Amino acid sequence: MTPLAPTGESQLSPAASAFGISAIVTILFSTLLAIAQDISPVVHKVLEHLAGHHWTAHGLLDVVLFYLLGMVLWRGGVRRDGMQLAVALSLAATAGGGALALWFLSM
Amino acid sequence: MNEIVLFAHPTFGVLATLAALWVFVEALNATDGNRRRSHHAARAGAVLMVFAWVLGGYWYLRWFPAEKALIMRGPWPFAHDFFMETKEHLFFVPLILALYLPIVTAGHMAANRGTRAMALVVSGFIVLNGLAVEGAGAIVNHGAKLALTPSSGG
Repeated sequence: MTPLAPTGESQLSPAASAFGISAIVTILFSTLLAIAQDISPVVHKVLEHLAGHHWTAHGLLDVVLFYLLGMVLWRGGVRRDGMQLAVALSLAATAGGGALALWFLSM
Repeated sequence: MNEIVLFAHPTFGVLATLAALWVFVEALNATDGNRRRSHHAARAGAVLMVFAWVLGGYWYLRWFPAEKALIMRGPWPFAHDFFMETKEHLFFVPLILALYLPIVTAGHMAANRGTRAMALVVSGFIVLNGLAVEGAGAIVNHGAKLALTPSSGG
Protein backbone atom coordinates (compact mmCIF):
# COMPACT_ATOMS: atom_id res chain seq x y z
CA MET A 1 0.00 0.00 0.00
CA THR A 2 1.29 3.42 -0.95
CA PRO A 3 1.23 5.52 2.23
CA LEU A 4 -1.18 8.43 2.31
CA ALA A 5 0.73 11.57 1.36
CA PRO A 6 1.39 13.25 4.72
CA THR A 7 1.55 16.74 3.26
CA GLY A 8 -1.29 16.41 0.78
CA GLU A 9 -4.47 18.37 1.12
CA SER A 10 -7.17 16.57 3.08
CA GLN A 11 -10.16 18.87 2.51
CA LEU A 12 -12.84 17.14 0.47
CA SER A 13 -14.44 18.91 -2.47
CA PRO A 14 -17.67 20.76 -1.66
CA ALA A 15 -19.71 17.99 -3.34
CA ALA A 16 -17.90 15.15 -1.54
CA SER A 17 -18.21 17.03 1.78
CA ALA A 18 -21.91 17.78 1.35
CA PHE A 19 -22.91 14.32 0.16
CA GLY A 20 -20.60 12.70 2.74
CA ILE A 21 -22.49 14.43 5.55
CA SER A 22 -25.72 13.52 3.80
CA ALA A 23 -24.67 9.85 3.58
CA ILE A 24 -23.97 9.80 7.34
CA VAL A 25 -27.36 11.37 8.14
CA THR A 26 -29.15 9.05 5.69
CA ILE A 27 -27.57 5.88 7.11
CA LEU A 28 -28.57 6.87 10.64
CA PHE A 29 -32.06 7.89 9.47
CA SER A 30 -32.47 4.58 7.60
CA THR A 31 -31.49 2.59 10.70
CA LEU A 32 -33.89 4.51 12.93
CA LEU A 33 -36.70 4.21 10.38
CA ALA A 34 -36.21 0.42 10.14
CA ILE A 35 -36.56 0.13 13.91
CA ALA A 36 -39.37 2.72 14.14
CA GLN A 37 -41.55 0.90 11.62
CA ASP A 38 -41.15 -2.28 13.67
CA ILE A 39 -42.08 -0.53 16.92
CA SER A 40 -44.84 1.71 15.64
CA PRO A 41 -47.78 0.46 13.54
CA VAL A 42 -48.46 4.12 12.68
CA VAL A 43 -45.03 4.55 11.04
CA HIS A 44 -45.54 1.23 9.23
CA LYS A 45 -48.93 2.38 7.92
CA VAL A 46 -47.59 5.77 6.83
CA LEU A 47 -44.79 4.09 4.86
CA GLU A 48 -47.28 1.71 3.23
CA HIS A 49 -49.49 4.65 2.35
CA LEU A 50 -46.58 6.52 0.76
CA ALA A 51 -45.51 3.86 -1.73
CA GLY A 52 -47.75 0.81 -1.38
CA HIS A 53 -45.18 -1.13 0.67
CA HIS A 54 -43.10 -0.13 3.68
CA TRP A 55 -39.84 -1.36 2.13
CA THR A 56 -40.38 0.56 -1.10
CA ALA A 57 -41.13 3.77 0.81
CA HIS A 58 -38.13 3.20 3.10
CA GLY A 59 -35.71 2.90 0.17
CA LEU A 60 -37.18 5.85 -1.73
CA LEU A 61 -37.10 8.06 1.38
CA ASP A 62 -33.43 7.14 1.93
CA VAL A 63 -32.44 8.01 -1.65
CA VAL A 64 -34.48 11.23 -1.71
CA LEU A 65 -33.03 12.33 1.65
CA PHE A 66 -29.48 11.54 0.49
CA TYR A 67 -29.76 13.62 -2.69
CA LEU A 68 -31.91 16.41 -1.23
CA LEU A 69 -29.78 17.01 1.86
CA GLY A 70 -26.61 16.64 -0.22
CA MET A 71 -27.82 19.28 -2.70
CA VAL A 72 -28.79 21.69 0.10
CA LEU A 73 -25.40 21.31 1.82
CA TRP A 74 -23.58 21.55 -1.52
CA ARG A 75 -25.35 24.83 -2.34
CA GLY A 76 -24.38 26.02 1.13
CA GLY A 77 -20.72 25.50 0.18
CA VAL A 78 -19.91 23.24 3.14
CA ARG A 79 -16.38 21.75 3.19
CA ARG A 80 -15.01 19.16 5.58
CA ASP A 81 -11.73 17.40 6.26
CA GLY A 82 -11.79 14.04 4.45
CA MET A 83 -10.01 12.12 7.19
CA GLN A 84 -12.47 13.29 9.86
CA LEU A 85 -15.51 12.71 7.68
CA ALA A 86 -14.23 9.23 6.75
CA VAL A 87 -14.00 8.36 10.47
CA ALA A 88 -17.52 9.71 11.05
CA LEU A 89 -18.87 7.73 8.10
CA SER A 90 -17.16 4.56 9.38
CA LEU A 91 -18.78 5.05 12.78
CA ALA A 92 -22.21 5.68 11.23
CA ALA A 93 -22.01 2.62 8.95
CA THR A 94 -20.80 0.41 11.82
CA ALA A 95 -23.43 1.75 14.22
CA GLY A 96 -26.18 1.38 11.59
CA GLY A 97 -25.33 -2.20 10.67
CA GLY A 98 -24.72 -3.18 14.28
CA ALA A 99 -27.97 -1.64 15.50
CA LEU A 100 -29.99 -3.41 12.80
CA ALA A 101 -28.39 -6.77 13.58
CA LEU A 102 -28.91 -6.37 17.33
CA TRP A 103 -32.49 -5.19 16.85
CA PHE A 104 -33.56 -8.13 14.72
CA LEU A 105 -31.60 -10.54 16.91
CA SER A 106 -33.63 -9.33 19.89
CA MET A 107 -36.97 -9.65 18.10
CA MET B 1 -39.00 -15.17 -15.78
CA ASN B 2 -39.17 -15.16 -11.97
CA GLU B 3 -36.04 -17.34 -11.81
CA ILE B 4 -34.20 -14.78 -13.94
CA VAL B 5 -35.14 -12.02 -11.49
CA LEU B 6 -34.26 -14.27 -8.54
CA PHE B 7 -30.74 -14.92 -9.84
CA ALA B 8 -30.21 -11.49 -11.42
CA HIS B 9 -30.56 -9.48 -8.22
CA PRO B 10 -27.72 -11.17 -6.28
CA THR B 11 -25.66 -11.22 -9.48
CA PHE B 12 -25.92 -7.45 -9.80
CA GLY B 13 -25.18 -7.21 -6.07
CA VAL B 14 -21.99 -9.27 -6.48
CA LEU B 15 -20.93 -7.21 -9.50
CA ALA B 16 -21.54 -3.97 -7.55
CA THR B 17 -19.46 -5.39 -4.67
CA LEU B 18 -16.66 -6.31 -7.10
CA ALA B 19 -16.76 -2.79 -8.59
CA ALA B 20 -16.34 -1.38 -5.07
CA LEU B 21 -13.43 -3.77 -4.44
CA TRP B 22 -11.91 -2.53 -7.69
CA VAL B 23 -12.19 1.08 -6.47
CA PHE B 24 -10.67 0.05 -3.12
CA VAL B 25 -7.61 -1.43 -4.83
CA GLU B 26 -7.29 1.58 -7.16
CA ALA B 27 -7.47 3.87 -4.12
CA LEU B 28 -4.71 1.92 -2.39
CA ASN B 29 -2.53 2.58 -5.44
CA ALA B 30 -3.91 6.00 -6.39
CA THR B 31 -1.97 7.79 -9.11
CA ASP B 32 -2.79 10.30 -11.82
CA GLY B 33 -2.89 7.36 -14.24
CA ASN B 34 -5.74 5.44 -12.61
CA ARG B 35 -7.92 8.44 -11.71
CA ARG B 36 -10.39 8.04 -14.57
CA ARG B 37 -10.48 4.24 -14.24
CA SER B 38 -11.37 4.49 -10.54
CA HIS B 39 -14.16 6.92 -11.32
CA HIS B 40 -15.56 4.68 -14.07
CA ALA B 41 -15.53 1.69 -11.68
CA ALA B 42 -17.34 3.72 -9.01
CA ARG B 43 -19.99 4.84 -11.49
CA ALA B 44 -20.45 1.28 -12.73
CA GLY B 45 -20.82 0.13 -9.12
CA ALA B 46 -23.56 2.69 -8.49
CA VAL B 47 -25.53 1.59 -11.56
CA LEU B 48 -25.11 -2.10 -10.69
CA MET B 49 -26.26 -1.48 -7.10
CA VAL B 50 -29.39 0.31 -8.33
CA PHE B 51 -30.15 -2.68 -10.60
CA ALA B 52 -29.71 -5.00 -7.59
CA TRP B 53 -32.11 -2.78 -5.60
CA VAL B 54 -34.81 -2.66 -8.28
CA LEU B 55 -34.64 -6.37 -9.15
CA GLY B 56 -34.35 -7.45 -5.50
CA GLY B 57 -37.27 -5.19 -4.65
CA TYR B 58 -39.38 -6.69 -7.41
CA TRP B 59 -38.62 -10.19 -6.16
CA TYR B 60 -39.24 -9.21 -2.54
CA LEU B 61 -42.63 -7.63 -3.24
CA ARG B 62 -43.87 -10.05 -5.89
CA TRP B 63 -42.59 -13.48 -4.83
CA PHE B 64 -41.13 -13.36 -1.34
CA PRO B 65 -44.41 -13.43 0.67
CA ALA B 66 -45.00 -17.06 -0.40
CA GLU B 67 -41.35 -17.94 0.30
CA LYS B 68 -41.58 -16.27 3.72
CA ALA B 69 -44.62 -18.40 4.64
CA LEU B 70 -42.67 -21.49 3.58
CA ILE B 71 -39.58 -20.52 5.61
CA MET B 72 -41.68 -19.80 8.71
CA ARG B 73 -43.20 -23.30 8.55
CA GLY B 74 -39.77 -24.91 8.10
CA PRO B 75 -36.97 -25.77 10.54
CA TRP B 76 -35.10 -22.47 9.99
CA PRO B 77 -37.62 -19.64 10.72
CA PHE B 78 -34.67 -17.47 11.79
CA ALA B 79 -33.66 -17.42 8.11
CA HIS B 80 -36.49 -14.90 7.77
CA ASP B 81 -36.79 -13.45 11.27
CA PHE B 82 -33.16 -12.49 11.57
CA PHE B 83 -31.35 -12.82 8.24
CA MET B 84 -34.02 -11.54 5.85
CA GLU B 85 -35.19 -8.77 8.17
CA THR B 86 -31.62 -7.55 8.68
CA LYS B 87 -30.67 -7.97 5.02
CA GLU B 88 -33.63 -6.05 3.61
CA HIS B 89 -32.83 -3.00 5.74
CA LEU B 90 -29.03 -3.29 5.83
CA PHE B 91 -29.05 -3.20 2.02
CA PHE B 92 -29.80 0.53 2.09
CA VAL B 93 -26.37 1.21 3.63
CA PRO B 94 -24.34 -0.11 0.65
CA LEU B 95 -26.93 1.43 -1.70
CA ILE B 96 -26.34 4.94 -0.28
CA LEU B 97 -22.57 4.37 -0.15
CA ALA B 98 -22.56 3.15 -3.78
CA LEU B 99 -24.42 6.32 -4.83
CA TYR B 100 -21.89 8.41 -2.88
CA LEU B 101 -18.70 6.71 -4.14
CA PRO B 102 -18.63 8.32 -7.64
CA ILE B 103 -18.92 11.75 -5.97
CA VAL B 104 -15.80 10.91 -3.95
CA THR B 105 -13.81 9.47 -6.87
CA ALA B 106 -14.54 12.58 -8.94
CA GLY B 107 -11.89 14.13 -6.66
CA HIS B 108 -8.12 13.66 -6.90
CA MET B 109 -7.21 10.63 -4.77
CA ALA B 110 -3.48 10.79 -5.58
CA ALA B 111 -3.12 14.41 -4.44
CA ASN B 112 -5.70 14.61 -1.67
CA ARG B 113 -5.33 12.18 1.21
CA GLY B 114 -8.80 13.05 2.53
CA THR B 115 -10.39 12.05 -0.76
CA ARG B 116 -8.34 8.86 -0.82
CA ALA B 117 -9.22 7.95 2.78
CA MET B 118 -12.90 8.56 2.06
CA ALA B 119 -12.76 6.40 -1.10
CA LEU B 120 -11.13 3.58 0.91
CA VAL B 121 -13.73 3.79 3.69
CA VAL B 122 -16.75 4.02 1.38
CA SER B 123 -15.63 1.24 -0.99
CA GLY B 124 -14.51 -0.91 1.96
CA PHE B 125 -17.90 -0.66 3.64
CA ILE B 126 -19.69 -1.43 0.37
CA VAL B 127 -17.62 -4.63 0.11
CA LEU B 128 -18.24 -5.65 3.74
CA ASN B 129 -21.97 -4.89 3.62
CA GLY B 130 -22.30 -6.43 0.17
CA LEU B 131 -20.76 -9.69 1.38
CA ALA B 132 -22.98 -9.67 4.48
CA VAL B 133 -26.12 -9.15 2.39
CA GLU B 134 -25.10 -11.87 -0.10
CA GLY B 135 -24.38 -14.29 2.76
CA ALA B 136 -27.73 -13.52 4.38
CA GLY B 137 -29.42 -14.15 1.03
CA ALA B 138 -27.82 -17.60 0.86
CA ILE B 139 -29.16 -18.41 4.34
CA VAL B 140 -32.67 -17.21 3.39
CA ASN B 141 -32.49 -19.44 0.32
CA HIS B 142 -31.37 -22.40 2.45
CA GLY B 143 -34.23 -21.76 4.88
CA ALA B 144 -36.70 -22.17 2.01
CA LYS B 145 -34.85 -25.23 0.71
CA LEU B 146 -34.93 -26.94 4.11
CA ALA B 147 -38.65 -26.24 4.39
CA LEU B 148 -39.16 -28.19 1.16
CA THR B 149 -36.97 -31.11 2.24
CA PRO B 150 -39.10 -33.84 3.92
CA SER B 151 -36.23 -35.25 6.01
CA SER B 152 -35.53 -31.82 7.52
CA GLY B 153 -38.76 -31.90 9.48
CA GLY B 154 -40.17 -28.93 7.57
